[in-house]
Amino acid sequence: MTEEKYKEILAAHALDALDENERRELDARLAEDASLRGEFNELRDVAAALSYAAEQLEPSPEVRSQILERIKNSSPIVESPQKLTLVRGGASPALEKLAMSDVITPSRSFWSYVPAVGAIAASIAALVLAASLYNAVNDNKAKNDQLAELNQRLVSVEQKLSDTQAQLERNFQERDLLGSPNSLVIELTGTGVPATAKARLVLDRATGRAMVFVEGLPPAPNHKAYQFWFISDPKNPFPGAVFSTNESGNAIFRDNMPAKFLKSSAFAITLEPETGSPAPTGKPFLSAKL
Amino acid sequence: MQPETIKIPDAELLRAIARGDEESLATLYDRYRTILFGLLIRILNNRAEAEDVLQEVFVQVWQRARDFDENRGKGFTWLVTLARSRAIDRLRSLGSRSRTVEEATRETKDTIVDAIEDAINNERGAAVQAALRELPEEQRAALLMAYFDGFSQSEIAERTNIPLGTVKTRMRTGMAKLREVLAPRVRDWL
Repeated sequence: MTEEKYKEILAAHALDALDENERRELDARLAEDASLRGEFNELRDVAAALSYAAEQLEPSPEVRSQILERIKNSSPIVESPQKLTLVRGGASPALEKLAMSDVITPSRSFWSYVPAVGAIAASIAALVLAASLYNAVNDNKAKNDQLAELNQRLVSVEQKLSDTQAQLERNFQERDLLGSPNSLVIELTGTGVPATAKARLVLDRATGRAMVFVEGLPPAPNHKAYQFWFISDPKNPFPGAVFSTNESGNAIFRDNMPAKFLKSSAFAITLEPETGSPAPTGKPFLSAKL
Repeated sequence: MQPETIKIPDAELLRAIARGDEESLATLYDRYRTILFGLLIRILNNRAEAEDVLQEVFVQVWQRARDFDENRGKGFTWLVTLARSRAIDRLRSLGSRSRTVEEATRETKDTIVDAIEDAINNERGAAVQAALRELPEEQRAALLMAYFDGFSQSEIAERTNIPLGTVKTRMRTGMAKLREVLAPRVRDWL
């Protein structure tokens, strides 16, 4: 898309009125073009001002107290450590960082704190190893072997810490969505991929909110990425989020299924060009059929 | 509900909310409840649904205030965008964009501060409506179908039987005109 074309569709994007592919492409461009982003933000402010055109109305007084009651037992969520490439089919593209999550915070069992304890333990281990590493630097040549071994262990612990934190975040997010009475859990399995590769789709059929947890997918080749598909008509799969996996082959992302696809009977993950594709070009790596 | 005597900037409120300050969330709610509820009613045309979504919006503000980055935009824009997005999601999950008229009552204001806020918001509403009236009808229709009904350009083209390219031009031109008229004022409002 040319620079001129990006500017032409900015206004529509400020109104959330772009089709999927244009929206993805423009979001990718906005992420790297500060000038275009500034222009978009101004249009976004103008769009927000349209809310003043609606008649102002007073909600019932109970709404306020209900909100304050609901937040009493929950605390603000810390930002997820994972960076995701997320494209939605819903109505709020430019603020995908909001990652609309279910507002229910179910009560937690004792075992849910185990990953948190593990994360703390891994943090302490990383600090101890880091301290050991610092001391070893000042020793003589004979201790270089020890230095190399500690360095290796530190890398390993850091990786475990990152994986544990990611698992903790997944648990909390999955629990929120699973707390919805309308949620469905679907396991995607693969052919032609490592046996450990799998994905889990948690779908709230009332709202279309979805979360996908991917494990063990090999890294995508250069200029390629994975893409999720919602399939109610096999001849016309609906494109979902485009995503990449981390070094461990894992990814978590949210997506939103448009109402007309809520009765999708199949789901798949394929390998596509890195900016996504309007239709699948590769065979599925992981799939599931209801 | 306590009236605000000193207006704390929206960004500061959101930072406080991110730190777990319930009072700041209450202040933000008091400040924008009528605008947001009016927007939700306009989109959903159903009081019960609108109140439900209004609750969801503020619980989500509570949970995601940390995501707000004032270097990327205004607090009001973030809040309104979130509210509109939730309303459109709800509209789609209800499976219908048909509009049923339901009367939503407006309670009288019982504090002077509320009345002043009302006057300010009414003045802003009048300015936005005046700016919209300056647009040719077809441009205005395209913008309102997108913003309040949640239609994409393709959907607008399909529903109105107008070429997609024409819809795109009307939307771009309409927003450009609105920006010209409103942007200087919006900078002060937000």
